[in-house]
Amino acid sequence: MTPNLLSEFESDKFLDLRKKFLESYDSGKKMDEPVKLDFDSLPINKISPQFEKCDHFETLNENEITHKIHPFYEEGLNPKSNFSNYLLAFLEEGIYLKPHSQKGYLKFFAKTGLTLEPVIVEFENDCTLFLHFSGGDGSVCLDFIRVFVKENVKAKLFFLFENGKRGIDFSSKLENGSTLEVYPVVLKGEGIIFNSTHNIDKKDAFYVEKSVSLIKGKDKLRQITLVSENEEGIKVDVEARSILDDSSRCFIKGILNVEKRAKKSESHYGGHCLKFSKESKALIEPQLEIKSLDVKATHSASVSNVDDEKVFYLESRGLEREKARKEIGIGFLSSFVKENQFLEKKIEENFNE
Amino acid sequence: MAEKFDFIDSAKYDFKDPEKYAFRTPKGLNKEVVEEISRQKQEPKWMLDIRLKALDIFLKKPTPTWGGDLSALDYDSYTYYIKPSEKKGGTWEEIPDNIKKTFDRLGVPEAERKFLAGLGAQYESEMVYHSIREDLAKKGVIFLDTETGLREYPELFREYFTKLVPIEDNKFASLNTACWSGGSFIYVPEGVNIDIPLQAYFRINSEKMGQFERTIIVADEGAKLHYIEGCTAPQYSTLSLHTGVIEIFVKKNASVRYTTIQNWARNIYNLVTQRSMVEEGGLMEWVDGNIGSKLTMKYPSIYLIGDNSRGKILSITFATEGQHQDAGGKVIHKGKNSASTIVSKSISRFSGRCSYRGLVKVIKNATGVKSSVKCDALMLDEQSRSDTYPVMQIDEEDATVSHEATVGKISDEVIHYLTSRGIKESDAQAMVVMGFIDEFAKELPMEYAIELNRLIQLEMEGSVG
Repeated sequence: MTPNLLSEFESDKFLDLRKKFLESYDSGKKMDEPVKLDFDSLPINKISPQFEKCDHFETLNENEITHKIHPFYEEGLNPKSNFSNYLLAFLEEGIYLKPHSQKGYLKFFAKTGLTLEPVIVEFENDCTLFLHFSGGDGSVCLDFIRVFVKENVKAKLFFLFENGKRGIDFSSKLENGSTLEVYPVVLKGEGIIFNSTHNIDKKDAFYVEKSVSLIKGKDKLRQITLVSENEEGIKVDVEARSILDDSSRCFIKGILNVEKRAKKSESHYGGHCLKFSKESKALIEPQLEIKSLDVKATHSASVSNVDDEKVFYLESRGLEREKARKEIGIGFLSSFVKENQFLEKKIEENFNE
Repeated sequence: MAEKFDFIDSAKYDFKDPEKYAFRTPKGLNKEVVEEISRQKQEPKWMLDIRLKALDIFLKKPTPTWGGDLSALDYDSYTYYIKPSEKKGGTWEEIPDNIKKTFDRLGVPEAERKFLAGLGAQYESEMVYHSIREDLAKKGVIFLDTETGLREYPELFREYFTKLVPIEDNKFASLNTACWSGGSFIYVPEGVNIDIPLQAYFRINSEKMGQFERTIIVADEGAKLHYIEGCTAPQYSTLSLHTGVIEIFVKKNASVRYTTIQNWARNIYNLVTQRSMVEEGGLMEWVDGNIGSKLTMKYPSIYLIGDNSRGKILSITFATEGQHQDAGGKVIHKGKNSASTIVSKSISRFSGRCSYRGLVKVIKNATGVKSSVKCDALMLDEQSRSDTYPVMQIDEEDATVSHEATVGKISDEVIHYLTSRGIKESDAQAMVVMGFIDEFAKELPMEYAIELNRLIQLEMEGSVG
């Protein structure tokens, strides 16, 4: 396929853009990615919202959802991952959300083949949104997610990414005084690249990202969070937790970049892995780059197995050893998503599979 | 006492001797220069072959771009070998007057008399003085300059040379291997405990020179050693290069502490590869203080290969105007129940930059490993910068590895409290900084701790207002 076919009804401007993205993708793919998504030759599917119900959440109304393409080419939505160049070259349909429900829910389902899932979310008022990305057998998904939060708005966003291979390119734009809390959950990802990139340049903005992942079998996760702070009073709290079982692999990297203008900012990054098997491998790189004086910046990282003392405590309360280990793992992951019972249940189910 | 052991007070060592030399190679590095260094040292052919192989690798490898800014390094502008004198001495009387005077001004012979078990003093490319307490020599302790070690103990030397830092390890290890000169060769026999430190003192006097010391330390089973190195140079407007390689072998139940008080002038690139390997039940400690130099890139490493082996890296860096201290540490756990700690403290001010770069790796089947890393950074003004780049690579389930880091400024409340008690603001800041590095200073012999505190006080002068 070439971008020309897609651009039949578009102006030359968009055709040129599509070609540019394809060129960028071709030149960028030479770089060796440890997690290979291998999507180049797959047939492309459009994003497919499913209006399913989810307990404790309201399914989004039609008026909260618009199908658009061209907003994805606007300035400021640049790809932060090479696979997004491919998505923007071949994008046929994107979803533009303006949630108003107090607790909205929307599910996307990906069939076999490559599914391009571009989503823009604009929070204009305080609310909670739960986006559920699910894949079928043999599916590969490219998720290009951009979130905008208006001034002084407090938004909360739950993500569930499950099944198949997946490239996630997530980025946000916060206005003065706004808050965005993000809770991504990754379950059963054969190969996951999760890039979360945020350049915060508005006063008193608050960004929270608490992600959890359960990696089993031969699954691989490569998760990189980069937050740049470039204005006064910004607060950032990022933590990534991962459980590794079987012969899975994970690479977790967090970069907090505090620029000169970011006075009186407070930042924390945490990367923590709990290993359930001897064969699994974890690589964690938490990084700080601090160029401003009047800031508080910390990071922490840990890799360990399940604490024997905790297991023993649960055993002494009548739990079998394996069950005790699982309970500890469930507690480690689900503490971030207590508010979302659906996710809590999903984590538990995956543990018990 | 503090005035007498003035090893690291920059004002005291910033003096230049007239350049008088027995021999020096022309500027730049090529095969002829390397062959000449080897000829001057009357080395065996196998060593020349290694040097030439290393030169080849050095010339092929690109200059690293991931750490500090090395773009101003002009390899052709340096003199790679300067022999200060034909004479070497086991007593200070045998040393040429001008060199002896230099070390007298630095307080080195006096320090030797008062609190060292042995001393080596390197001037430019050669160790001009080496001496060890008689009782230790009688116990079989070898403490020689590296060339003499190669000449007198060729088999022992060859057993360890380049075994921990292979010639192709990195560009600067290759450079060092091609033109190494000076450094210490130390062997502590089984069960010998050297209760007071051995020291090497490195002095660069000339402008635009490269100093490439090579040190090998072997602590045999149950042996114990504390080795200290100090470094100074006068300040020139041109840039000089110090590229050392240190290989330390800690045998079963042995213990080695290697302390560095690096206070090079701020025109020196200090690019050093330090590596140690620890066998069962052994202990390796790097106590690493980096205060001087224009750019330091140094990450002392510990390979814990034996079960129940332990490693500790304690590092402080102080960067002020025009300085970048890119330091840290690496620990690789292979032994079961091995344990390590890395503690890094950094202070940056007046646009200085401190970076921590570290690695903790746990290899599969290294069960029961425990490792903790703690990095604290203090920034004293708006122009400074502090970075932390740790890596944790864990391939074993039964391991507990943790890392934490903080970056901050001196709390206004603390300064307010101290000034309200009549302490000047600059003194209050200096007090807080002293407290911050206390953990490091406590690990130094008393005389060095006093000097370190004096240095920090000097550096802190004028930091407020």
